Amino acid sequence: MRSGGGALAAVSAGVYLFLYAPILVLVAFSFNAGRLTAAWTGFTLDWYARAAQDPQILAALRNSLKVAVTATAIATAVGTAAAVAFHRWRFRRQPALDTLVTLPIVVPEIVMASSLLLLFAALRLRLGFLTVILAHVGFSVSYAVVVVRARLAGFDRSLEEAAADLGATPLRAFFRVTLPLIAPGVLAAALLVFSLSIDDYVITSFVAGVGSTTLPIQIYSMVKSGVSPEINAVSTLLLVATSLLLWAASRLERGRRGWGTAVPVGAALAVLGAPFLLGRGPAGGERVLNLYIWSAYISPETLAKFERRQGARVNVDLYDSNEALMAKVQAGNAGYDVICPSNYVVQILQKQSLLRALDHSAVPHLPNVDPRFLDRDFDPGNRYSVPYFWGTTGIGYDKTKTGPVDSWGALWDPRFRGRILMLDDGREALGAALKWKGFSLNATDPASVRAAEQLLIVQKPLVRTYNSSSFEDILLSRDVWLAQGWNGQFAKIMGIDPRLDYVVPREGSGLFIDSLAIPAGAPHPELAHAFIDFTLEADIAAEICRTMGYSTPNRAAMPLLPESMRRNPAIFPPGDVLARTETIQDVGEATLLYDRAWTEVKTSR
Amino acid sequence: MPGEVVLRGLRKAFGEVVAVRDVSLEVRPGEFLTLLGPSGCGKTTLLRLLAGFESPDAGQVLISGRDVTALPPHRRPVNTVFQHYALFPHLTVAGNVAFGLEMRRRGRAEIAERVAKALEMVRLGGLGERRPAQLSGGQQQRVALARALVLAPEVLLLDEPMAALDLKLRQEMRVEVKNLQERLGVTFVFVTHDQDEALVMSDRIAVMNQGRIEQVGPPEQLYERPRTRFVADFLAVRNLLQATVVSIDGGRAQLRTRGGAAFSAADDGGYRPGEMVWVGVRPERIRLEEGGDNASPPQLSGENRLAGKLEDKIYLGDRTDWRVRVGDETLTVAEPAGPARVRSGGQSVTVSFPGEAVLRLDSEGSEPP
Repeated sequence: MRSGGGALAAVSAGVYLFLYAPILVLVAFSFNAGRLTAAWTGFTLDWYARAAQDPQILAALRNSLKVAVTATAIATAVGTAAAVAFHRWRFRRQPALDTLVTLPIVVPEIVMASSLLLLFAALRLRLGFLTVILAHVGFSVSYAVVVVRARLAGFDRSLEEAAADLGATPLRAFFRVTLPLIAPGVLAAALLVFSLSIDDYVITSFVAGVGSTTLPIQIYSMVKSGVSPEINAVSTLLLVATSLLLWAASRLERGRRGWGTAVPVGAALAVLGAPFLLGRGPAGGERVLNLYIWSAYISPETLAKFERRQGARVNVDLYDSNEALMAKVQAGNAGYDVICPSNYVVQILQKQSLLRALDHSAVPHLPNVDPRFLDRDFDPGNRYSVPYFWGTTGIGYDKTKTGPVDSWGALWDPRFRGRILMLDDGREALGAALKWKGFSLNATDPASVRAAEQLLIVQKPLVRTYNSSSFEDILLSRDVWLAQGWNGQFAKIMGIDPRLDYVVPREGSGLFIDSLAIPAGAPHPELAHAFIDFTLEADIAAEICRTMGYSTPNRAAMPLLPESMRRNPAIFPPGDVLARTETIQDVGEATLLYDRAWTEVKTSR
Repeated sequence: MPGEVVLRGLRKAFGEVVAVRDVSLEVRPGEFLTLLGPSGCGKTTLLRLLAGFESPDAGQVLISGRDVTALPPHRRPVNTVFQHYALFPHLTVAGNVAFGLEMRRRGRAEIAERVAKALEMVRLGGLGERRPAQLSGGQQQRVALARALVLAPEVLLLDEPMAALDLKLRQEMRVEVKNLQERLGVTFVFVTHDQDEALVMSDRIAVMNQGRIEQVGPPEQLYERPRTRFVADFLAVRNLLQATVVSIDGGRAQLRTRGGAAFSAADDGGYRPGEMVWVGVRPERIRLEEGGDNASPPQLSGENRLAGKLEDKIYLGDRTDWRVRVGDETLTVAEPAGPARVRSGGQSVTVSFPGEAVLRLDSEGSEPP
């Protein structure tokens, strides 16, 4: 018996460790002095201070809390009412209704997200707080119903009858007897809804609009530039606040009041309320620009300059993928004035008449742009877009482990078995194979795509992992020695670790140009033009490049950049490199070929 | 009159099942009336119609002369003691008792005073701050009583309040509840399936069967003179026999069962020669003698003597039930505890009972279960 108990304790400990170890790591790394999550480099509170000063993180946190609190209140009230109704009355179509109520739990989130987006578009609801809150209530109310019903299952109906018998009206009976008794269930439902709301990403990313970027969207959108430890700090604070609330709730449930309960509640509210007090943006004039852009693509300082100059306010919302951007713009009710699509997305949106033609007379600084980035095939004559950042796909590697690398072939070198990382992106991974064998990134003939597919299948045993979101961290930690990836992220880690290098292989590679454009339905087109022209000014373009670390296409800005940046081959590759690149384009019906090939690769053994 | 309950033609069905059929009943002010019957007979539904938890498909409920048929429970001048007490687990004992007064928006001082008094009344003074879960079953029941009575209802409804108590406590509570009712003079409508409880406590008993009231009367009357086979059976008239009336003479009806057993009954004026009747004999009215040769023809005396064979014995402590085969019938004979008698199965015996012990039962009414 004794040894059995010991084994049980060990297993339990193991399970808890498995559950909580990631959280402990997150908390620990929020105090890590190093920027990257690869290694512990010393204790600091710096990230907390920075989070407290970052207006975008604070705004996202505020938004998340507003949405979560409102959605929790509504969904819990509605869910409780529905659960009580289900419990109290038996009606004819109840089994069907039962199924309907629980359906949102099993419907894939992405399906719910796109249908909500269509619904809101059909109702002509402007995307924003209202739509986010409605969506969150919509998907979480089922959970609330299920949780409260579970509690009601053990509820003695005769207690309500006793209350009525003693003279309580149905409403008073509910609040004096039923509610106190199912309170633990209602509280559990509220906590569940709150946590579902606060960490929902998929649905929110579809239905969020101007000024309603939540924390998860903020975090995901940072993926492109690497998730910063500030997020660990914010997450730790959220964790502390919710733990305190849970603790207080469990005390309340046991009927304990007083300081022991009030103090944790107060502390939790203080933590949760802090973002509402800190770093509130300027109240701003009545003119507003709604900017929808990749994370870490523009700094608050730059935006502040624009706001001062125009006497306007800029709302910044973030996305993490071109797909999210397209969904939002195609829904047609997002209300954005300026967006930042990648090359082929400009093409797609323009074909669907979703972009507004630029008035070139309102962007007089356009000639500042390097002609190499103008008049590209995705937007001839730059009628709809203006280049903002550009970059290349290449290989980041540890030159002390691999020696010099200049070919895609290095990613197929058996000496580096288990030390190779490929982007988790079909077009990019297949593109590496296509380029290595001398094909176009945009090859549409089945034979070429098939050949690339075979190459990736052959390569698979050498590959440690497919990853597009933190490839630079994985390289920095030396889990891999060679990583396919984008230049901006590699440039950052090369500044930390001089043994790392970046190369655009000699066979050529992909070029991306992220451009600013104005959606067809933009409410403030005049201010949008002013903003685009603002970013083209030499000193502003230089500032954007300096603060964000991506390659600027602005020729006039180059002399204003520090020497170290200009000479960094990962940021500004030599001229001949650019000549070897091509942009990934919309391949039309061949998209299916690429999707199939990529599925074959990912599922092959 | 305050405390009077009048039910007129009440009917309640749940889907296909008719729980209460055309029940009419009058309960006098200050009366202790018991609804007695087996489970499923409709007694609890009838009580719930009174309390307002169910609304009738037809008929009327009048309380204190007022038609309350359409009133919801919280507006009826009645209070209920529930089967499992339905005490609010999140409130203290005092909180439970105060609940109804709070709903009536009484002043704080008045509530405190009346709660204290009510708890004293049920001998729970000093336990006001406990939670219901910290009390014994008997104490919980007293809280339920206090909670209902503190509102000074005109009628108190009790739904099998003793069912959850053990036998000893139940017997104590019977007396206590009865005394309380007499002291307060409140009309009690009490539901039970326990005939002893009904007999001990009630002023009148209404026996229910299949949604109908079969017989209403004081306990003695019901016990002495059950009208139907169902009531007789429910009130422990164990020997129910079907017999033909052979003749009537001298105030005696001569009866013969199909199996040939012949006996006489005191004629109550309801026997008709040649008719088939149901009769009943209480087991404790039958005596048992050793030997089967003492039988004598019934016409010679008022005492019936029948020869039979002992089948088996059920020992019950304060009495023993003997099962005796008489012709085609099996009779149950209850013998009070006394000097141990050694009898064995198959032994010949004689059973005897006076003609006055034979109860004529109406052929109408429902079948016994």
